[in-house]
Amino acid sequence: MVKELILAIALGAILGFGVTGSYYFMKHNKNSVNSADQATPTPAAQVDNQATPTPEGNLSVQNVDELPLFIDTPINESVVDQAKIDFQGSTVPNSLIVITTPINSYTTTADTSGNFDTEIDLEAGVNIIDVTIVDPQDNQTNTQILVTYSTADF
Amino acid sequence: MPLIALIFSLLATITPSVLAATPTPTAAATAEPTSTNLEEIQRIRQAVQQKVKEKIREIASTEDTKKAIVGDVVQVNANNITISFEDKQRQLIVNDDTVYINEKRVKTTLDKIKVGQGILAMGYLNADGVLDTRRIVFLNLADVTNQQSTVVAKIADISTSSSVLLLIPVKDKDQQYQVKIDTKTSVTTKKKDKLTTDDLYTSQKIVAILEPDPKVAKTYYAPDIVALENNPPEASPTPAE
Repeated sequence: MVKELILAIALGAILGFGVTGSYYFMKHNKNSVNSADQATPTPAAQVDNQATPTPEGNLSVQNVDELPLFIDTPINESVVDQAKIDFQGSTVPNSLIVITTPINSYTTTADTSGNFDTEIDLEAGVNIIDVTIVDPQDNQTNTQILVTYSTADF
Repeated sequence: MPLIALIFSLLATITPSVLAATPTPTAAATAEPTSTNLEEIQRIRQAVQQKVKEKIREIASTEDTKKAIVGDVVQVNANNITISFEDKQRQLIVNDDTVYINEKRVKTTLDKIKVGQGILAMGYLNADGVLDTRRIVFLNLADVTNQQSTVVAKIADISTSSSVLLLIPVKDKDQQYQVKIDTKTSVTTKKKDKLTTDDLYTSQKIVAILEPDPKVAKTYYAPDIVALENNPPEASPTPAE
C-alpha cells in the first residue's frame, strides 16, 4: 500500500511537472523569438554639442550630453613652476583631443584604451586651457581648466 | 486505489500552480543586449569611473597643495575677499602675510583692491574650500580669457578669392560660420599627416579651432584645422567635343 502510494505520488509529480514545464518552455521560446524580432535599439543620445555665437562674437559650447573625460594632469587651479607640462588623461577611445592655451593649440588622439598624453607650453601667469573631445561619432564635449605658471615663493 | 488516484490528480494540478508562481522572465529582460546598448553601458561605466576618480582626488588633495584661482572682486574687507568667475563665487582669506602685486608688478596693499578688480589669488585651499591666500596679483580677466573654441563641421563652401570657408556644424545644421584661413593655417589629418589649405574641399568633415575676429562680428579665423576625412572628389573629366 505504501509502495503504491509513493509510486502514485512520484508519477503524479513527474507528469505534472513534465506537462507544465513543457508548456512554459514552449511559451518561453516563442516569446524570445518575438522579442528578438521586435527589439528596438536604444536611441543614440541626442547630442547638441555645437558652438553658438554670442552677440559679441564669442563662442560658447552647449553640452547636452557630455562625453567622459578625465584629466590626470594638470590639476585644475594648480600652480606649476615649469613652462612645459604633460597633459594626460582618458576619454572615449580613438577620440580626437583638441587643447588650446593662450599661446598655442594642440591635437592628439586617444588610444584604444582611451588614454592620451601630450606636452603643452604655458605662458607665465594664468593659463585658461580649453579642452575639446571629439569622439568617433562626432560627438563633442568641452571643458576648461585653469593652470598658473609661477615660480613665486609662497 | 481511489486514494492513490486522488493524490495523483492533486499533484498533477498543484505543479502548474507552483510553476505559475515562479516569475516568468520578461521578454525585455531576456533580450540579448544590442551593440548600441553595450556602447551606452560602456559610456556610463566610463562616466562613473571618471566621477569616482574625481572624488578620490578631491578627498586625497591636501591643504599643502598650491592653488591659484581668478575672479572679479565682488566684496572686500579686512580679512577676506569674495571673487566671482563664471557665475561662481569663491572666498579668499587674507592676513598680514598676504602679498599684493598690482598690474605694474609693483607691491601694493589690500586697500587698493576695489570691487570689480580682477585678481589672481594664490595660496592653499583649506578643508572648506576657502583659499588661504598668500599672494594676490591684479589683472584684467579679459586678457586671460581663452576665446578659442572648437567646432566639428562640414565645409559647405570655399571662397578661394577671399580665403574664407563656410562651415556648417555636423550636429547643428541651422548654424554656419564664416571662417578665414591663410597660409599660416595648419591643416593636418587625425593621424597628424600634414596637409595644406589647398587640400580642403567642400563637404569635407573637419575639426576647426576658431578665434573670433575682433574686427568683424560672427567671423572667425582658423589657426588649426584637423581633417577627419581626406577623400577629395575626383576631378570631372572634360567632355569630349
